[in-house]
Amino acid sequence: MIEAAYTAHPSDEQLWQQFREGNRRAFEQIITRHYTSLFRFGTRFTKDIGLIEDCLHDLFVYIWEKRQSVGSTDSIRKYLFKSFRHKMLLELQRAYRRGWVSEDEAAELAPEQNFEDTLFFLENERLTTHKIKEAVSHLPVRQQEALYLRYFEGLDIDQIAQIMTINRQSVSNHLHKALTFLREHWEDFTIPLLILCLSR
Amino acid sequence: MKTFNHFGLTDFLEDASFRAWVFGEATDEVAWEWEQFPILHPDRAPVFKKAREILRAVEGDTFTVPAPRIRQNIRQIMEDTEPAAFEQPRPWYQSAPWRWAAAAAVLLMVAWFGWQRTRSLADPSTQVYHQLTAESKTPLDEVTNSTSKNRLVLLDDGSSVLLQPNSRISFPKQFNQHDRREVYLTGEAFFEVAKNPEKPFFVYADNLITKVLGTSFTVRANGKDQVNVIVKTGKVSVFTRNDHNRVEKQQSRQLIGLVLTPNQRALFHREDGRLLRSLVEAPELLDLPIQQPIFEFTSTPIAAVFRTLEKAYGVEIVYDAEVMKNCYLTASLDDEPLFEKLNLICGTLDAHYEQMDAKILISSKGCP
Repeated sequence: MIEAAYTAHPSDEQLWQQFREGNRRAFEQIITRHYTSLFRFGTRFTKDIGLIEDCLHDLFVYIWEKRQSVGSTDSIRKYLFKSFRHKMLLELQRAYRRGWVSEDEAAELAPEQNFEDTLFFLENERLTTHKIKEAVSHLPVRQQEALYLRYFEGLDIDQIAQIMTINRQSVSNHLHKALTFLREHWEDFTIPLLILCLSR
Repeated sequence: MKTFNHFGLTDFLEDASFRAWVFGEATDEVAWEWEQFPILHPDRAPVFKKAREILRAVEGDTFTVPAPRIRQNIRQIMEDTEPAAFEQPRPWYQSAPWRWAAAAAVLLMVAWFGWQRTRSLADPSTQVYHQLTAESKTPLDEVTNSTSKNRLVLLDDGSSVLLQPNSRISFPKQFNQHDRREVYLTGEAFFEVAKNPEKPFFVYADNLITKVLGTSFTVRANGKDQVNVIVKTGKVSVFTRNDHNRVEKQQSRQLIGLVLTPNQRALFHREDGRLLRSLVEAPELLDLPIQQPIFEFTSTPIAAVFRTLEKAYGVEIVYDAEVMKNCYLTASLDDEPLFEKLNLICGTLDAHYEQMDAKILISSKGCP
């Protein structure tokens, strides 16, 4: 949804090329375009605003220093999300080892939660509209992340695969599983809702 | 005019215009059309609502910070990558890795990228070295390590320097006549500086000056394009020789200028004289054995302790293994100079040490 606003600007390839040639304005434009969505993405991993800001600061300083050696990219957003995600996870692990991250935040770094427990919990609890949020929050973290990148950030499967450093098929599986789960459990309460609508 | 042939859940989810509306980014016109959708298509209203709920759930509890703060952060990035970034550095207490600055000691490395194995007198680092040592007003001692092993250099003030192969260091014979400790380096060395805030310690390597108020660090300087100052623990300040505030920075009792804290590094680009600061993304640059936390001893036989020190400092320790066979050490040593380590060890074991040539002689009556 964000792309539409950018069509008046130079393309990613052009902008990236200018940046690699040391164009400060292109660099600033890149930061300005992506800072907010990168920050928001960062809040998926930690609520420590300072840590997210530090990671972003260091990421941009780093790519400026390395601008001559970075490769070309078809999507700056993909490149930044991938680098930023990598950096966030690294810093969080580092912080956790030093005991500066709460257990909760560290748990989010675990590759998969115990999904079976969640499933059991949801089977037994009748899912209603306001529970969808909860249902999503109980999905395995990687499914949640894929959903976020696909539907909040509007990235395509290829880009998500590269950002999360998994293959395309895994991304599709994550999305498919997540949606199937939500859809299936939703059927439980769509029927009464539907009747309500028709009876009006 | 937008078409609204949405039936399944993914029809909605995949529609960028629908997502923009849910996330409050749609134009008024598009927003109005989506608001009408459940009224015009009551049969599809549940799916519509479901898709909207899912998107909201996907957004989850993510958030952003206010726009002025984002603008400030972006300005900061632009300033810190500015070619003259070292003129107005970010205050150290705002810098990213300060949160990780726990230790008081300093492990610092000035590294050259573009390493040349066969250095000639023409390399800029060596040129600067010759120039600076020639200008020095005090008589200097010079140690050159042309061997393939590290060489331990002990300074008059109790600091120790582990000089790497193909490296050279000059230092005053005696520090106590001067109000600062200044050494000149070309090549690479690991420094453990004896604490003395009254007499700051300066390393001149290439165009960079590194200032420490105490403790330990490494300097590597032999290459071409960039000088790299890396801090492992503690704090140092770095500035260029051409810095016009240099005198103030050198004389200050505090560390001012570009202050580096753990896991930070300063990069000096020769061609344009820029000095930048960033995070160390590859801590393995600190790869000397001495930089590893190997000085943790728990009831360790003294022979093993001495072996560790010999290996770390490339020095020979002579002691009577038979007399000291019952001696065990429990201690956590870090980056204090070799002599301070020896003081601590000998203090614990009621032993004494003396230095003879490149050897350390330990005398002890043994342990009960």
